[in-house]
Amino acid sequence: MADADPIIALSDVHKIYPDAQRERTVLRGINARFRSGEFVAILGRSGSGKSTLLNLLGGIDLPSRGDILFRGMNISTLDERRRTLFRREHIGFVFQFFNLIPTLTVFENLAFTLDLNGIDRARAQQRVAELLSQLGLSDRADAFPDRLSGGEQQRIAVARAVAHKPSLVLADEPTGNLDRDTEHQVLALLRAMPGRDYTTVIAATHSPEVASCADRILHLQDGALAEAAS
Amino acid sequence: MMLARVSLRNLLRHPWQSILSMVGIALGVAVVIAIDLTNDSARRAFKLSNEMVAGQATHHIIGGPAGLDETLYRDLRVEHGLRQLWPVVEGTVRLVAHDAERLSVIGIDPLAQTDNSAIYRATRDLSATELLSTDNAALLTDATARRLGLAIPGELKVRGAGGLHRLRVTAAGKPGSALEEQALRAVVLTDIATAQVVTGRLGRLTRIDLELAGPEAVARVRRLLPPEAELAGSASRGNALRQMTRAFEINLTALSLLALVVGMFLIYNTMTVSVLQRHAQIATLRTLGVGDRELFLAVGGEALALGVLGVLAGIALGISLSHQLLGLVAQTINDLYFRLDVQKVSISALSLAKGVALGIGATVLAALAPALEASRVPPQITYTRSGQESAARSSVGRLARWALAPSAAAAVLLALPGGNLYAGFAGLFFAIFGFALLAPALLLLIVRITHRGLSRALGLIGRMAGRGVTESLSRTRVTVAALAVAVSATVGVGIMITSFRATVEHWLVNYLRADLYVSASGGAGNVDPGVIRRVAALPEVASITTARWTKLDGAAGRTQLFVLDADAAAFANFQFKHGDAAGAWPRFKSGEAVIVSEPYAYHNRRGVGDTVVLRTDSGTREFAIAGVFYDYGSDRGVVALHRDTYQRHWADAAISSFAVYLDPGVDAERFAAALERDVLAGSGLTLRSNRQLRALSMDIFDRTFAVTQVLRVLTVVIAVIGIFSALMSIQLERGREFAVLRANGFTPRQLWALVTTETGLLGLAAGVLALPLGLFLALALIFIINQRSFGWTMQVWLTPEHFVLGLALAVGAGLLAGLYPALRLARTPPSFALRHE
Repeated sequence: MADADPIIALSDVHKIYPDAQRERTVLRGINARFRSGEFVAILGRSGSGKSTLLNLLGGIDLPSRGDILFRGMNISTLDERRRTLFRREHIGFVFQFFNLIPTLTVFENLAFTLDLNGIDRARAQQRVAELLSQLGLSDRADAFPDRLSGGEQQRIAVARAVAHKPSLVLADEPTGNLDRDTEHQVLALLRAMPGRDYTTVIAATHSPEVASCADRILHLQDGALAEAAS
Repeated sequence: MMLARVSLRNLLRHPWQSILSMVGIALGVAVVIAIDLTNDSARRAFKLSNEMVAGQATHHIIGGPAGLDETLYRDLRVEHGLRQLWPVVEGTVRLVAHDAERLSVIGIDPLAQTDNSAIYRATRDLSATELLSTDNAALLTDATARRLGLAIPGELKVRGAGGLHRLRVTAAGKPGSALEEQALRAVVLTDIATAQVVTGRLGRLTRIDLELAGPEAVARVRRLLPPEAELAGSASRGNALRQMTRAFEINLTALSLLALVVGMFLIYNTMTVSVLQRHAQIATLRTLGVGDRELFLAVGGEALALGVLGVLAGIALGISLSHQLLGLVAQTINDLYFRLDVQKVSISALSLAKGVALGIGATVLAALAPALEASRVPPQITYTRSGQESAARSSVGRLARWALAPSAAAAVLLALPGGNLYAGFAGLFFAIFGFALLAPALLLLIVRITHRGLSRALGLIGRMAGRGVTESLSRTRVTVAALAVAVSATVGVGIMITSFRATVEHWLVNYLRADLYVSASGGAGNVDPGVIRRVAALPEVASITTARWTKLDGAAGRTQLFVLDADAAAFANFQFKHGDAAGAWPRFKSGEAVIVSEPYAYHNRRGVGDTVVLRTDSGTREFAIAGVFYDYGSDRGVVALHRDTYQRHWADAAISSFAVYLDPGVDAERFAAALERDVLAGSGLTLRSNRQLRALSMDIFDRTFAVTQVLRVLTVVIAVIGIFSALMSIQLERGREFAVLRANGFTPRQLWALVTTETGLLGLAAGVLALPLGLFLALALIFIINQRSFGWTMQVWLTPEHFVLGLALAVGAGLLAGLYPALRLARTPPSFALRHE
């Protein structure tokens, strides 16, 4: 596990879901530290708790026990509103099914998180234009998501996740819905995204391709996280 | 604001859904504004006509049914030195031409008239001598003269007391304002003497207006008055008359609010379904850092945008609708309450503001729950529709338990002693709300009951349709509740009108037992006693009863008197609620007691054994109440007394109408024709057979409920529009699911059958739910709202038509709403639907 400069650290994190018959423990005493700028792949079977772990890291969900420290701030103790503001400012999400806002154009989808963060219009436009140019999708700026291919949608989703320069990008099966060629494009983008030097990427995946791009690989099994042998 | 853009685009992406919800609110607001403007216009017209002659008068002196002796005016002015007083004679005549249009005759003293009155202002350019120097002189407004095609000077032929009168219209005046113009539209102004002749009040005044400064002056005038006269504040007359139409207005307002409530359910339905359909998108927004408050405001803002547009359209529609309703409302006021000429809708800013506030308020209230729902969507990346549906199913029991609270509130409000009308309406609305909460549980029950039948009849499609309803419970429960409420409103109001109509019809059959009825035309006309004597002498006539309808105005309000000269047999035609004909008759005949109608007893909290205080020519006098009878002719009630009693206490021999009982075997129609020809020709009296009079009464009844019927139809239109939109969107949302079915071999025809069976089943469920609620609403309207408004007892008259119609309406709306999505989905290639989902 990484030791120096953790941007986010988990300490004895448990996640237990109450069920009708019995409680279901998904995560059991997870301890992990993630450095600024590293690319980490989390591998595990379906239902192993990968998405749950990402939800906890992004402040979407709260651990049943344990602490999650983001730059020393325990996000598990924040109320709903402060966790929302935390996500808005520090986190970028990439989803398997892209989850672009269907009623906004490509340009507006990218400007969305900038707008939420109060970036003024001129700077936001400049940033979005820059991202689109790097993606080679400047000509699709005014298109709505349903006019894009799956690969284009996911590239826009990655760009949206980094548009506001978050400290942490959480990607849940980012290439799970893509063909091999498109997967390569998206992975290349995740690795080489603008300003990537300071952004930590944690990707939950089944894909060996994603894992092969990672600086570190963690295995989630039986609710416990283990570093893969390099 | 990017979030605002997301909301706006969402509305634009579903234009039909947005437009239909907007139309729902627009129609709701239009109905509320139209009714308010109509009521307000009638109120203004009334106020204006009331002030027309009064001008600066602070009080008026009123007499008994025959008015005041004119010598009182002279005495007060000459003997007692009062200067600020103005005599008035009022009555009604009918024009000989122009479809016998009614005109109000107002007789004034041109030399004494105050310059503060509209009448004076309208004619001030004319010399007072215009009225005084010519016999039968009359003034009209310029516009009225033009409308009647009368050249000035010219002759106006009118039918009043004693037959035909020729008025010399010597000049036409110009009112000071459009409102005054309206108020004077059907008024003819004469001097006192002319008005007395044409209205049959020789030597009598209707009232004397006065301007009195301070209590001492008031006390002094009171001391000077004879026993039959009473001094009342100017406002009291207006207030008393306004009070008469209060319940009528409240009922119209409540019905218009019902239309808005239905519109509110539709906005709630649209927004709830919209939020449920965007669950995944909202979860994404939450993940990206959009806060719960921002989402609440965004969804609320969407509803508000629809509401504002709906309200704006509703204002325009409402103003236009008020022009259509005004005639109906004015007709009812004239039929049931008092003469009122109201032609124009006064667009009052307050009415519009009320409509806007109610429309926006209803929208905000309706959007509250869906907006809260949106703000509570967890920021989970993985969204499952099944989770949403399972949450909906598990909430069914909870919602049913929640229904207890509004139902209990409804029970308390409806049973509240004291009979407050507003509490009654609040109770009704609580009951509707409680039922809406219970609807999901009942929907599941109905689907379970129909499952086997559908399965047998339609096989796989039948089974799938039933499951489709329960598997989409998060959406269908709201839509079914909304449709059920809308349909129940029309069923309830329909049953109430039918019951009321049947009750009145039944009452008329028992009450109108004579063969022929003869009445004086025009409000002021009286029947010549000579005519009655001639008719009574005819060999075919078995007996005659006479009637006098008159009113006693006083500071405490108006009392309608029904003076009857009848024998014990005719008296037995009264149907008694309390007391009986045999027991009441001797006391009634002797003058010891009167009988009162049910509404009178209700409004005045009187019953058998109590007394009624009436102002007679010799001062106030108490009369015992010997019975309370059913009467649907007046919603404020009447006091009936024997003619002998009346003439003992009031110097008024006038007769308004008489009823003719023929010997058995006499052909009533042939006799009527002969009577018309030989006796009544040229008398100005109107002859009606029993059947004609009943038909006329029912016509008046139907006219009274014409506005209600219009409101009922509008409520249905609002409901159908909203349900159409909601069901359509629910089906279109399932494009992918249907594409999978098509990909697996479902034919377009099968898909069409599935979708329409499902929407039809939803319609059927709503219809079935609407029937008990409709019946409950009808019973509450009949036994609580109408009782508290008018004091009438009504029989419940249940006919299958309202239930069948309600059911057909709901099923029809369901099937219709399924047609478009069924056709669209059946025509869409499955590959296209799968790719685009």
